Amino acid sequence: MKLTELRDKLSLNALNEIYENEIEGVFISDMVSDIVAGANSGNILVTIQTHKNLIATANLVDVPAIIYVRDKKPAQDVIELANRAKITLFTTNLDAWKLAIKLHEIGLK
Amino acid sequence: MADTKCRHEWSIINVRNGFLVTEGCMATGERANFFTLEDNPHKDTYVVDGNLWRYLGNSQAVKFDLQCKKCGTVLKLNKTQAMAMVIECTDECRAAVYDQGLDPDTTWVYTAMCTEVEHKNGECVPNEETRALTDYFNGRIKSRGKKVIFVPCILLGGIDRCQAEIIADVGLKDID
Repeated sequence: MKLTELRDKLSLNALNEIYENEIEGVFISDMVSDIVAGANSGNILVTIQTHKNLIATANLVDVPAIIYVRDKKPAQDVIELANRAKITLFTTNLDAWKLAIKLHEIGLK
Repeated sequence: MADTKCRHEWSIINVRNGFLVTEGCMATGERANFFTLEDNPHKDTYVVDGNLWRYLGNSQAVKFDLQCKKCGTVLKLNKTQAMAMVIECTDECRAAVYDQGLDPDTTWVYTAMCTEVEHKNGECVPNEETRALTDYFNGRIKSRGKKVIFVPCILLGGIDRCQAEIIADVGLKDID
């Protein structure tokens, strides 16, 4: 599923450019240690953690996009690093549980 | 028996969730970082070989080893205590200068961090571990043209001024 399609289906708010990436699967976590061990290339990351090291970690494990739940927004320097890494950042007012249900409903597993 | 001619394809094993603890020497200003599984490490100030070590802080982190899917060789990443993404820094930082020499759109430099105490002897994370980390994480990347390179942390200009983003749960959960 393309990121633009994901944005449209879930009414996500994009914080930066939506890069042309295909999403394969979802990984939900707020801890970079967990993401290093468990996320797969192409996963969309769902998190409430807005720290800059999340971008460093997402880039390392080839996560192309991050959805911040509960309207959490990262600082500008985090967005700038995501721009350099071509990682799209979204926000949603949903919590992780409700978002997970919607992600599953639209076909992401 | 390990196959020394094998072009290893690494997979992650022995994932341990623990803490990256930082200590500072009050006499020399040196830093020491180490990974521990203990959730209640000692925080007493202690003396070793002329250093007066004091606990400075910690963050939740992960440590792991690698195993080759083809020959079964296990590589214990004993010297690697943590990883960090090199962003930008002064010209004194050889890791940042190395990063600037690469295509910024496709290649990312990460550093494998040792305890730092080893730098006194000119030692750091060995090439075997940085090469394996490079190969392992590049094996996980499917984005076309993108790659990462791991370098030893001895290339960093100075840990107190370092702008690298460390792969650890800074401030999220700690022992304190």
